[in-house]
Amino acid sequence: MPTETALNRFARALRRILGMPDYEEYLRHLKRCDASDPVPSEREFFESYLRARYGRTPSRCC
Amino acid sequence: MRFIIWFAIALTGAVAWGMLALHRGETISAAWLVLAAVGTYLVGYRFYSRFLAEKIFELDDRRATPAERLDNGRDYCPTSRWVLFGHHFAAIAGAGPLVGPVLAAQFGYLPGTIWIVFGVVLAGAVQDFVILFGSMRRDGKSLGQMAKEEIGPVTGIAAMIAVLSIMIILLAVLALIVVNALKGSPWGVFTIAATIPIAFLMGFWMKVWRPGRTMEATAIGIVLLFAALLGGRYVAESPSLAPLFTYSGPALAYAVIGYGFFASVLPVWMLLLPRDYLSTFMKIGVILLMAVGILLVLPPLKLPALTRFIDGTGPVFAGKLFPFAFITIACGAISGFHALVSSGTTPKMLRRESDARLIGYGGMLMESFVAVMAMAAAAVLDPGIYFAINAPLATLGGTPESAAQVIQTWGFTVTPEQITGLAASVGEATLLGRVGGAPSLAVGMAQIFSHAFGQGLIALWYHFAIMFEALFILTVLDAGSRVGRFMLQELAGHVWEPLGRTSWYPSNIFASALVVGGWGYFLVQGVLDPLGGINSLWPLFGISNQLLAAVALCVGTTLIIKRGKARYAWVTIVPLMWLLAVTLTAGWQKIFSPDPRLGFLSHAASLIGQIGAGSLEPARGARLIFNDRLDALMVVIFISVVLLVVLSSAWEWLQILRKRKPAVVRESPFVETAYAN
Repeated sequence: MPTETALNRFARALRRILGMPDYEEYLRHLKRCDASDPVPSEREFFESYLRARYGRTPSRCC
Repeated sequence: MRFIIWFAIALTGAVAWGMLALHRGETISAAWLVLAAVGTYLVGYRFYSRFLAEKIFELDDRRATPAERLDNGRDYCPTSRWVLFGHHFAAIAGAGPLVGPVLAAQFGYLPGTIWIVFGVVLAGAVQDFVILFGSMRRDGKSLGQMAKEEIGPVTGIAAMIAVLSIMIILLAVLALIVVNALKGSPWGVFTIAATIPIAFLMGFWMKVWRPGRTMEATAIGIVLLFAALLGGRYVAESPSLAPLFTYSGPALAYAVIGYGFFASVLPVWMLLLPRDYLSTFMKIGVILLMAVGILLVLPPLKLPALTRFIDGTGPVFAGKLFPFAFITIACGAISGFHALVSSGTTPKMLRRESDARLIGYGGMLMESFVAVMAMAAAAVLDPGIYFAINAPLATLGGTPESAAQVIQTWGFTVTPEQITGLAASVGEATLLGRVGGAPSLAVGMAQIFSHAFGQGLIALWYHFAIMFEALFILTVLDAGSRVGRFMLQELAGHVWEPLGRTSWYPSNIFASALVVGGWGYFLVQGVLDPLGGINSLWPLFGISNQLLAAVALCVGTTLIIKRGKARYAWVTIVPLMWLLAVTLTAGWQKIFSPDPRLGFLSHAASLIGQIGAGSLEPARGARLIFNDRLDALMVVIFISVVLLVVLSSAWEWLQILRKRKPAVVRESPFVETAYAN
C-alpha cells in the first residue's frame, strides 16, 4: 500500500471527527478480514451508514 | 522535578482562584479566569482521573476493546485517541454550556465559575468517564440497556421516560432561544432560512449526484453559509427586502415548529445529515476561534464577582444562588445527556482501554472550558448592557429610556444612548429584552473577536455568532425530534403493535406530530409568556438534565459496587447526593414557593387574583394558569421518575452489599489484544 499523504491523513481524521462515513477505510477493513461477501458499492455503503447513524439513540448533546 | 512542576501548577491555580475571589476593584483580567480553570483541570486530570482509572476501573491495555474485537470498519472501528477526542467532544458540546453560564452570570461571574470548574472535576467528568468505561466493557451498550440489565426492567423504562420528557423540554427551550435571537432581525432570519436550501443542495450532492462524497458537499456548504451571512447584511439594509424577513416571536415559533415537523419526517439525508456536518464543523471552528480570541485579548471582566441578585430577586430568572446557580448551569459542570453519548458511538471506537481516560474525563474538561469561555464572554459586557439584553421586556419597559431607568435602580449605570448605539453597531433594531442568552453571548463574542481579529466588523461577528448558535440548535431540533419519535414509537408499540413500526408512514407522521407538538406547545407557551419564557422553561430544563445525570450516576455506582469496589463508590455517590439536594430543592421551590415569581402554583394563584380584580382577561388568564399547572406537573413527573430510579438502585446496592444477591458483573470476557501497544 502506498504511503498516505499528510492531506489524506488529515481528511480521514476530519471525517472521523465529524462522524462521516469512510468508504476507503471500509474497503481496507474488508480486505483485512478476507470476507467473501459481495463488496457493497459506495452508494450502498452510504445507505447503511445513514441507517446506523440515525437510529434510536441520540448521538448529539444539547 | 515532576513534583515541582505539579506543585507550581497547583499553586498557580490556587493563586488565580484567590485573585478571582478576593479582587474587588473595577475590573479583573479574564486571564485569571483561564488560569484558575486550567490549573484545576490539570490537577484534576493528573491525579483524580488517574485514581479513577487505576484504582476503580483498572483500565487494562492488554484487554482488547470492542473496537478491536468487533471491528466492522463502520461504527466499531479503532480510532486514534486525539481523533476520537475530537469526535467525542463534537458530540457532547452544544448550546447548553454556552447558554447556561450566560444566564447564571446574573449572580456575578464567581459562583458560576466555581461550579463549572469544580463541578466538572468532581462530578461531570466522573459521570462521563464511568459511563464510557461501563459501556466499553459491555460492547458499547447504551445507558438505557445498562440501567435495565444492571438494576432492573423498571429502572430501564423509567430511564426511557426520563429521556423522552427531558428531550421535549430541552427542544422547547432551545427553540425558544432561537426565536428570541431572531425576532425582528431580518439579517438573522435570512441567514438561517438560507441554511435550509443549502442543506438540500448538500444532501442531493452526497446522496444522488456524488454518492458518499460528504467532504466535498460540506466544503460547498460552508462557502455558501458565509455567502448567506453576507447576504443577510444586504437584506437587512435593503428597504424592500428587509420587511420580507422581519417576523414577530409567535410567527417565528410556528415557523420553527413546522420546520421541525418536516425535518423529522423527511429522509435524514435531505436535511438532518448535511446540517449535522455543517454545525459540527462550525462548532469546532468557532470554539477554537473563541479560545484563541480570549487568549489573545485577555479582556477585562466588567461584571462583578457577585451581584445583589444572589438573594433571588434577579430579573433573568427567579431563585436564590442555592440551588438555582447549579440548576441554570447544567451542561459544562455535569450533564446527564452526556451519558447518552458516552454510551453511544464513542465506546465503539476506543482503540485502547486507557484512552477512555483522556476521552471520557478529558473530553468533559474541555466542555467545561467552553462554559468558562461563555462566562467570560458574558462578563466582558458592561453589567448594565448585560441586564438590558437579558431581562424580560415586561420588566424593562419598552424603550431604552425606561430600561436605563430600571437598570439604574438595580445599581448599574447604563445610558439609553449606549443601548441604542450597541444595537445599531451590531445591525439590529433593538437588543432590549432579548432573553435566552444567545444574543448577549453573541455580543460578548463579537466584542472579543473584533478586538482580536480586526475592529469594525462587529456587526458581522455578531451575526456570525448568532448563525453559529441557531445552526446547531436547529440541528438538535431535527435530531432530537427524530430520536423522540423513535422512543415514542417504541413505547407506543407496547400498546398497539403497528405504532411501533418505524417503517410505517402513518405511524411516523403520528409520532412525529406528537413529539413536535409536545415541544411546540412549550415553545409557544414560552413565546407568549410575559416574562419571556426563559424564566420558567430554563429551570425545568436544568432540573431535568441534572436528574438524568442522577440516573447515570446511579448506573455508575451500581457498576462500581458490582466490580467489588464498594469502598470507592463515594466517587459517584457524593455527586449523586449533591445533585439530589440541588434538584429536589429546586423542584420543591418551583412547585410550592409562595413567591409568585418562583413557584408555579403561587403564580397561578396570583393570576386567579388578577382575573378576580379584573386586571387580566379571563381567557388569557386561564391559559397562563393551565401552563403554570402543567409546568408544575412536569416537575412532579421528573422528580418521581428519579426517586424511583434512585430508590430501586439503592435497594439493589444494599442487596449486593449484604450478600443477599450475588454481584454479577456483566462485562464482556477478557480477550487479549493483538496490538503491540
